[in-house]
Amino acid sequence: MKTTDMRMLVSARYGGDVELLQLIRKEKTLVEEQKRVEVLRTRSRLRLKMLASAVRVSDGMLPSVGVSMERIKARVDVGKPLEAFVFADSEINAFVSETGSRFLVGLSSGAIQTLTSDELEFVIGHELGHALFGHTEVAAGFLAENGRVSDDHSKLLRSWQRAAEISADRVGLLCCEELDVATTALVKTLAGLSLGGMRLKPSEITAQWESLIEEVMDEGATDLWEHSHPFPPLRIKALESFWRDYKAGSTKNGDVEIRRFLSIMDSSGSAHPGTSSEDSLLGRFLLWGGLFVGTADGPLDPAVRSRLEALTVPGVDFDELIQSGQDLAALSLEKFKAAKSSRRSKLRATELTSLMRQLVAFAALDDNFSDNEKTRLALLAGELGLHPSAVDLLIQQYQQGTQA
Amino acid sequence: MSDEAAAAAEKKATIEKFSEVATLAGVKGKIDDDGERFVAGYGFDDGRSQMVYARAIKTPSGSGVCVYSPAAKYKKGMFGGISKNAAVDLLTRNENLYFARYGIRDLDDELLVVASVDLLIDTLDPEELRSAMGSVSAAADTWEEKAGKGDDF
Repeated sequence: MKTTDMRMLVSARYGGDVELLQLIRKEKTLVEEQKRVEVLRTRSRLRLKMLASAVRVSDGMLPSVGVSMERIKARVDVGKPLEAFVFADSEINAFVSETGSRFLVGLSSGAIQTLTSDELEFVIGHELGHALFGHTEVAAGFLAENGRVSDDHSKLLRSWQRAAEISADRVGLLCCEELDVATTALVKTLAGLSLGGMRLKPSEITAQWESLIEEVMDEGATDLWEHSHPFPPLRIKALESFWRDYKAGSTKNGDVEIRRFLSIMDSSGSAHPGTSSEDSLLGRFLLWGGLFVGTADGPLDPAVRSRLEALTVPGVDFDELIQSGQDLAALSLEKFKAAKSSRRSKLRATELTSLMRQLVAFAALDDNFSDNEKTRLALLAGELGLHPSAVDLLIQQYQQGTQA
Repeated sequence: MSDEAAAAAEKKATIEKFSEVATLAGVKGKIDDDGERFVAGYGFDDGRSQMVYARAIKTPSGSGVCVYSPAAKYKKGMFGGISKNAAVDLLTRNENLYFARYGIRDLDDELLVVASVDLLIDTLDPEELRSAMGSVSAAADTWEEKAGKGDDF
């Protein structure tokens, strides 16, 4: 980072990473389990294993890697000595681990052979990002897998791990300083291709990203929470959002939209705040249903509009849609039905409740429920197979809730 | 949180989920004051009605609810209880009953005949809930009428 200092690196940390880590630290069971793991970690023989079966990076042995390491070490101060090793693995892989007085960075031979030195800086920077932000202090993967914590705790840990990857990617990007380099490194990791010196732009992955989101929505997939890493297309998209704000000098870091991207991999109905996939999986229903209800009495209310604009629905340009002069009621109802028919799994009751409550709340944004709005809500409820009187009950509950 | 408190919280959450699905099914009801049961009325076309309750249960497959409707009360004691003929009748009806079963709940000084069905909460959908409420209330009402107990429930 030719231009980035430590303060910048620290402020680049993804907000969701910090918030979820705070939640983890408030959970007594997790704190207790972490203490137990800590004892095991002090007995870890990782350094011994690395010294025995990997190659320690030195200027003489691997000069190009050594130079990259030195360059990044000079920019990212993790407070402890670093030791890097290359281990035998044809896949692109890397890790960082804290072993007592030092950090160990492991790089696979596949990474060294496939990545250019710039791309390697992204990968090393990413690993040092984990060390810098204290990610190695919580053995989240071990805790989530060892079966001693509840499902809700596992979901929280996995959600945090994915958020931590976003923070670490940002450090990697700030180290290599080029979005295309980071994108290329992630694509190479994804496909194991050397790509013959090609440089990829994030836009190359946009269509795949959109198809991925559509597939997740169609599946109503709720088992993605088990992944420790966000899907690479999601990471690229998150880097793109971060870089846009960072370059513009905004401290928002793209966090709001990244939170939505990540939520697609969270669990439905998770007990912890900020770790539920419900709204993301319902994105299309909320967008088209909200538009249908929101235009019942004329032009779209600005409050409904801003809420709908915030939804992640691939391939929809909201401004273009509103200005297109199309019959929005007919279009949105048709799209709502299409969302229902393309969904391959039945909408769960919790999803139906969340969806209908939000649609009722959209209708209430202008402070009353007109007959037109009620009729449209009932139409949508009918499309979802709900009983005709469900809408009246939901409206009653909404009104009781706001009065209370 | 103690195990007891955790179990109580889980029961409460189950009943709240049931209440949400009931809303989607268009069933107007409420959770009672101690948060342990969902209560709703069920009206038939002929003007008769039944009270239907749901309470949280633990099943081998996860959290669930027992949806039940009371059919008749019988006093306990030497000259009370359920006659042999009535008990055999209930068992015979159980054999032919769809989506419900008769059973006896032992209250302090009374026996309560109920019609009930168990449902898993995680997969419960509005249609299934409505159908379960219909099945148990119809079964309970049939026994209440047969037992000549009026329309108390």
